[in-house]
Amino acid sequence: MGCRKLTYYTTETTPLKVATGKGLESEKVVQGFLSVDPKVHDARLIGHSPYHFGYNNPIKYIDTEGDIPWSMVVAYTRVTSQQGNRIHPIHKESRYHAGLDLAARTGSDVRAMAGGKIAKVGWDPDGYGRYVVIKHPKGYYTLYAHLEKESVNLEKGTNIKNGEVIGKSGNSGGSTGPHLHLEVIKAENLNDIFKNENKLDPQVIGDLENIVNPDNPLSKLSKNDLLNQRETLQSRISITENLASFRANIQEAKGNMERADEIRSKAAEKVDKFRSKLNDIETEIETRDNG
Amino acid sequence: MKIMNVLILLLLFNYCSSANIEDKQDECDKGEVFDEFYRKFHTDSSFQLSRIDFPLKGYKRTGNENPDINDGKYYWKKKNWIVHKKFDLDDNSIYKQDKVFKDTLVVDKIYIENSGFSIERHFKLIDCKWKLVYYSEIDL
Repeated sequence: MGCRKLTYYTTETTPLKVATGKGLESEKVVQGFLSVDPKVHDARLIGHSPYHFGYNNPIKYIDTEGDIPWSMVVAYTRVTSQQGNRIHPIHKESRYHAGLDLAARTGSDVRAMAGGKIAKVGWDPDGYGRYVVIKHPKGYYTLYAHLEKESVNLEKGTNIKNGEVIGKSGNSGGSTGPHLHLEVIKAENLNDIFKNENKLDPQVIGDLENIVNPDNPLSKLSKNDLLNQRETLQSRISITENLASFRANIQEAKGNMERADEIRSKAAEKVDKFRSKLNDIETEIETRDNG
Repeated sequence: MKIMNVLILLLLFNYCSSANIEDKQDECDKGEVFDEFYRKFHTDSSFQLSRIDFPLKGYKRTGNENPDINDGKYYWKKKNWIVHKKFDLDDNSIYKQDKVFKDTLVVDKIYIENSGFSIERHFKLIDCKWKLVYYSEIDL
């Protein structure tokens, strides 16, 4: 069949809070809704999951097609901090969070998000702790931080395959609990990887391997897969726009115009990327229909 | 008899000295209740600045810095100081707070669980006044 083969398992123990999208009281839920693994969203649309959107839903999945999207980098239990802006608790200003924080048990395997070469194995005792930087084709880098100090036995220049284990997640450096800090970066060279303007959202990137080593991944998909992905993307665009509008309106009502603008601009950025992917899919569908 | 007199004098001196210290301690306790100081520290920016001796020892790391170049040790300067506002702990907050009281030192931590975000402030009672003596901010 054309459906993507996703196998689910979950350790859910608390009742899921379903987003209602109604009124101010659901704002908390809406925020949780935004932090849901987008793959859960995919799965709901193609009918594989009994769940609707949940707050920090810990559903994990195994992608039997062998792709390594961001959520397969480590067996995480929840996203503890999104990539992007967050409000500083005592400065009350927006601050940029360069990566995605994924709570994971100490000792969990951490896998390369795509094929590449080890560019750095670093030790930052009060910051990133043990961290690894992989250089991928096309100027992409990925950074994996707070790994277990002794778990990385790799040297600079080592070739790494997509999904290969590079170390174990841990709690090293300036970490407040076991988690993996994951960054995707596009930079001219290794020195520029720490600049905020070069950081990308791993959740938007999805499967980096398809970007850095593309052999037209869409051509491998069946027509049904393409149609499913098109439906998913259309839905994501609509949800992203509606939620951004909803959240921005709430911020405006509170008088936080700056925050409202940020929400809209971030959403527009995401929607542009979704639209770009959607165009590729539609072109592929059209090609097949005509050919 | 002479020895007795000396002993009495010594005991009297000792009593006066300790009474004096206790009086000072009482004065401190009455003058600067931590909770009251903490509230004012976050609502009155002039008061806040008056309770920090710059440059303030601390630590600062963000994801925008190369760890090979910046080891994080940092002295906060008055001209760059961003006023600390009251931390709101509500259900929506992704942040948590722990305050540890140790005699004349209070360690105040605000953080996101299982993340690279934490701030730590040390408040110390110096000359009967609470002061911020250390501020660390890790934002990774």
